Amino acid sequence: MRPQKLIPIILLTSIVMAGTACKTFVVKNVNYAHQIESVLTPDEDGTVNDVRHGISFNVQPFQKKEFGENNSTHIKEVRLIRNEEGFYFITANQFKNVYVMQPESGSLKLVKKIKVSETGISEPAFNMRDGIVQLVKIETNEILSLNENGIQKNDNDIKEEQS
Amino acid sequence: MKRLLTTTFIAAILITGTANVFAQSSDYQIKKNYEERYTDLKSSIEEAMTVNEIDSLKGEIEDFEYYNEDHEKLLNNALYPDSFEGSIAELNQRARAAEHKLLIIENQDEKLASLTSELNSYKSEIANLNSRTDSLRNAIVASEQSESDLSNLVERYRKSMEERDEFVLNMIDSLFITYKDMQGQALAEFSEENGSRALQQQDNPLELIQSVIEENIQILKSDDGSLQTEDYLRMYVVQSRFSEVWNQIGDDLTRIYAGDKANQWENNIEGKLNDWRASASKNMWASMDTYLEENNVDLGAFDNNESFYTAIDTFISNATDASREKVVTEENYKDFQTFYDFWNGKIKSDWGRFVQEGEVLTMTQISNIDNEMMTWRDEAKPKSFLIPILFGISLLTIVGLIIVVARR
Repeated sequence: MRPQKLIPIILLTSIVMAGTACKTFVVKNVNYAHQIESVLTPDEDGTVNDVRHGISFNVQPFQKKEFGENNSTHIKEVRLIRNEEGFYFITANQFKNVYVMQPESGSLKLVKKIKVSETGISEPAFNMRDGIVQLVKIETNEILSLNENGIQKNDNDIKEEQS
Repeated sequence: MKRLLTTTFIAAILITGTANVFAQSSDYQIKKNYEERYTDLKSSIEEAMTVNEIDSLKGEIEDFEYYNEDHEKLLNNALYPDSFEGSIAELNQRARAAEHKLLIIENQDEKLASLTSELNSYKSEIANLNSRTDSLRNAIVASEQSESDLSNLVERYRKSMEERDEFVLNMIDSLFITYKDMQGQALAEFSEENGSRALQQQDNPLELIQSVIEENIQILKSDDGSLQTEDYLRMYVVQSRFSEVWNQIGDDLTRIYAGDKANQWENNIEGKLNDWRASASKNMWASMDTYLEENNVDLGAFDNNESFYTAIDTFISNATDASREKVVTEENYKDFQTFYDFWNGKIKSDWGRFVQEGEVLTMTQISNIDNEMMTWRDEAKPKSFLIPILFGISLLTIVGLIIVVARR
């Protein structure tokens, strides 16, 4: 092969490599965790605004998803917390599920709908313990550790299963 | 049985305690409880009315801090950009500031209480003096007694008025000193705290001040000629001093004692003070004019400090010019002497204190008149012709002797 023919190939390879180098600039070990849940009251349009953490969204899609299109149950407060990985955990009174949402450009995308109650929790609350989101059911004193994949099993439960 | 009850009681406590140990709490709820209690404590500090209340609140803040120490990390996150330590420090700071303010207010309250008792004693003393003065005045009006007895009554009446005026002066000075001590930020805070303070009427110095003013107006308006210029001068001075003190403490007094009606009280008292001033001024100048007329001194018209000074100044200038132009006689000097007696004997001596205190004439004006008086005296003094006559006789004798000697 003549050297003149190699020049375009070398140039193309350099451009591709430069582009790849730009795309792979990543800062790792980012902690998105909220240390305390936000309890947000929707306005008349159903919009909640978490000033401290800089997020605003409408709760009506959650309401429809949870109670159905024609249900008129009104959400008084929405509880929201974010884990280290950056997933939002959202629930409210009488919800049977915790919604794990991933932030995208101008939207929140459902990653996982975690069923946490058969009848709806009357007093849910999120705590952050050692980087893990916990759902506390105040009325039953029950705690569920959650991640974006669902309910995490407690160490004790795992040990019991192994034995 | 008793033992069974005790055992049951202890078991119940243990069960409750255990339940509490396992009770799950929401971090958000901890934060919310903290914020609610914090707000309660802050309000209680702001609303505290006594130092004792603040002391008790300081204890509550200590407990509040102690019970939340376990959640310090959580609260530091939840309260960001404030912190647990910062918020407790702010509460303590507020408590200290409130305690300082309340200490001042309690101190002011004590002063006010002592002033109130002082006012009550003034009130009864003034009532006694008023009653004595009134009965003397009534006795004079209704008198059918002999001239010497009537003169005695008038003298007693004047003496009683003098005592009363002295007392009013002392009272207003005492009021001034007490309230002057209380002025400043502390008084403003006190007024805010006690804005709607419902004082009983007998404790209210505004009532006393108003009654003193009204009594004086009544005395001046019902004047029956028993009083003399000196009395009117003294009353004029009392009025001036009263107005002066009111201008300095009136705002504060109405703020403390009149609450929402502060403006109404202030306008009312100021209106009455103006009325008093007009009556005191009118009676004093009229009396001065009468005195001069009775002593054959015609100063012309005057009814205030400025026109009085101008009248004296013009009178002396004219008299001096007249003495300069005319042939000096004993009559000219008598005019001078009459005015000199009025000026030195009355204005500067008998009435001197009131003339100065009431600023009937200022020191500069008195000094100017003194200089003019000296010039007038020089011009008015009768000149002696004896020496020139003796000199002429002596000269004629010498000339006669020389002629006689020359002829021989």
